[in-house]
Amino acid sequence: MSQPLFQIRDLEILQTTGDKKSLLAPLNLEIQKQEVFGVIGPSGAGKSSFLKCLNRLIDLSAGLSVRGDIKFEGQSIYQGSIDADTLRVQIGMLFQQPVIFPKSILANVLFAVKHLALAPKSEWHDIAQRALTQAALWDEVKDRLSQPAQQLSVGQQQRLCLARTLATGCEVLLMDEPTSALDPNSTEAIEQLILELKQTHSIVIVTHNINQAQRVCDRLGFIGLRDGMGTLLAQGTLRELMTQRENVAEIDAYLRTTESIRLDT
Amino acid sequence: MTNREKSHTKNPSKSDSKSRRKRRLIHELMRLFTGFCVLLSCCLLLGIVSFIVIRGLGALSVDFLTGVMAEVGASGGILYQLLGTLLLLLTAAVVVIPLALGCALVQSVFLTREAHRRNITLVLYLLNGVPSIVFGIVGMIVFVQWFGWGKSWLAGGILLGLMILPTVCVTLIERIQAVPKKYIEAARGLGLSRAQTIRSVILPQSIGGLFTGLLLGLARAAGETAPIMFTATIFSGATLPSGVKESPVLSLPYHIFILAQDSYDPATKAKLWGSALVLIFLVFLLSLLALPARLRIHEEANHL
Ligand SMILES: Nc1ncnc2c1ncn2[C@@H]1O[C@H](COP(=O)(O)OP(=O)(O)OP(=O)(O)O)[C@@H](O)[C@H]1O
Ligand SMILES: [Mg+2]
Repeated sequence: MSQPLFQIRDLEILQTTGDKKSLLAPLNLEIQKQEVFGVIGPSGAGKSSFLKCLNRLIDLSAGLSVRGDIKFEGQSIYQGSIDADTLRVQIGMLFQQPVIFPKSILANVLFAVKHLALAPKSEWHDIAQRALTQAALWDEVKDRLSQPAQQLSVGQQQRLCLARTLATGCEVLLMDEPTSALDPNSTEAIEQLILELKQTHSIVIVTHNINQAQRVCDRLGFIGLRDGMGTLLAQGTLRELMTQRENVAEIDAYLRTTESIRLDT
Repeated sequence: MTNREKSHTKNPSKSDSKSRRKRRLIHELMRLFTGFCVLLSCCLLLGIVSFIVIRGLGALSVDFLTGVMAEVGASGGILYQLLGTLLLLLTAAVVVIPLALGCALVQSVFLTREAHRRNITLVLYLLNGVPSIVFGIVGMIVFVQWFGWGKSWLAGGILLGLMILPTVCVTLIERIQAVPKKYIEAARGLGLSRAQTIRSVILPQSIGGLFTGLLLGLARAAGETAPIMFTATIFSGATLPSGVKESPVLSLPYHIFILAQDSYDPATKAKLWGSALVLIFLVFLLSLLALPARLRIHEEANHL
């Protein structure tokens, strides 16, 4: 097997203030290239925090520190001398709520390209068109690129965020519940995009929707709360997780709270 | 009224209406009192302004604004006093903008420890509390004596800039802290460094605070006499400065200060009120310019 995309070794998130407890118990996991890896688990288990560890966005959270290490394509990102900003260009991120800068649609797509000077100005238009096409938004916005992006619907805004991330040329996408603010149609559009992007990108996605996990994810990790700490309790395909249900009480409890699922087997 | 309270009284309905009447009375009294306060402050402001307008309007003319003072203030205009004050304000603005930007960014972006942030805020509040005469005396020791500048417009500008630094800085800090965290997170998530995030996200959304604070600060600085009277300004015999050393300017507040000290002459008195009117107009103009920016900020804050 080729080198894994992320090789996570004893990753632990600690609170540096207050009672100094650990948010995430030491976690070991490997995420492969070109796969869609899903993270599921109850609210507050630390899924978002775990995801932010992968591109070191967790560095911005005052009061949290990280122990252990992650190797990204074989390179240590916490212990080596890697530049966190460069890492974040390579690993794009989508948030639960689309975050649109109060600028035009074009300015939003080109935000990183412009401020990071990733490409000469003459290429900007092509980059914007390519990214928007990849995010299935080009046809809807090509006639109003200079209009304020806040006018877009929430579903379009989320695709715009995706386009903005894709414009940097990143090969890895982290998505934190990217469809939980969206209506069914927009959700389907995003899921469709994930399945297409899978050909070219590696994706790690946090989701609350087990049906969605089934539709888009190749493998899943379940982070549950055990002893007040987020703990990776199981990993594998959804089927494998289902079989773990009898052994791990937390998984059973979680699956009971989510909508009843129909597994097409 | 809770049930427990009710059970203590023998006749609930009667005491209920009594307490309601009492509350009504308190409410009415409060309204009267606050209304009185508003009326009083409005009357005071209107009184002062109309007093100055009535007395000063007669002296006002184009010649007054563009003419040079003559006969120790009894005739002529206030051209160089006005220009001097504007030069001092411009210098103060140039001094305070980079300082306030640096200070605000250090306080709200670069420092991550809450204790350190609080220390900077404390220093700003302390600076704000320093009496302006102390600025004047310290300025005299430092610029006039140590630096050997004598009286210089630059010293006055620097002192006024330092004096309004807290106002400008605190307004800017408030705006920076009002920038939604999600924008910063999104920008950093795209790989922008902290400096790039400041330039592309934080400053565009908060720079209005710098200008609001600046205008409010300048409105205050325009009328200050104490910081500049020992360091930067003289009563007569100066035009526009050509250097730094020994180059004082004339200024409106100091002009008013001197004229007010010995204005037995009715001609001088008329000029005094005219100058005061111009100064008040300048201050109002600066404050009014700050107002639209402030209103816009409130709108934005409500939309986010
Ligand atoms: N900066 C922080 N400082 C201290 N504690 C934090 C910080 N950020 C998050 N936490 C805590 O970490 C825990 C996990 O939060 P996280 O957002 O990762 O959960 P989650 O699994 O994503 O939940 P949800 O499904 O609701 O999004 C929570 O208990 C939260 O209070
Ligand atoms: Mg979350």
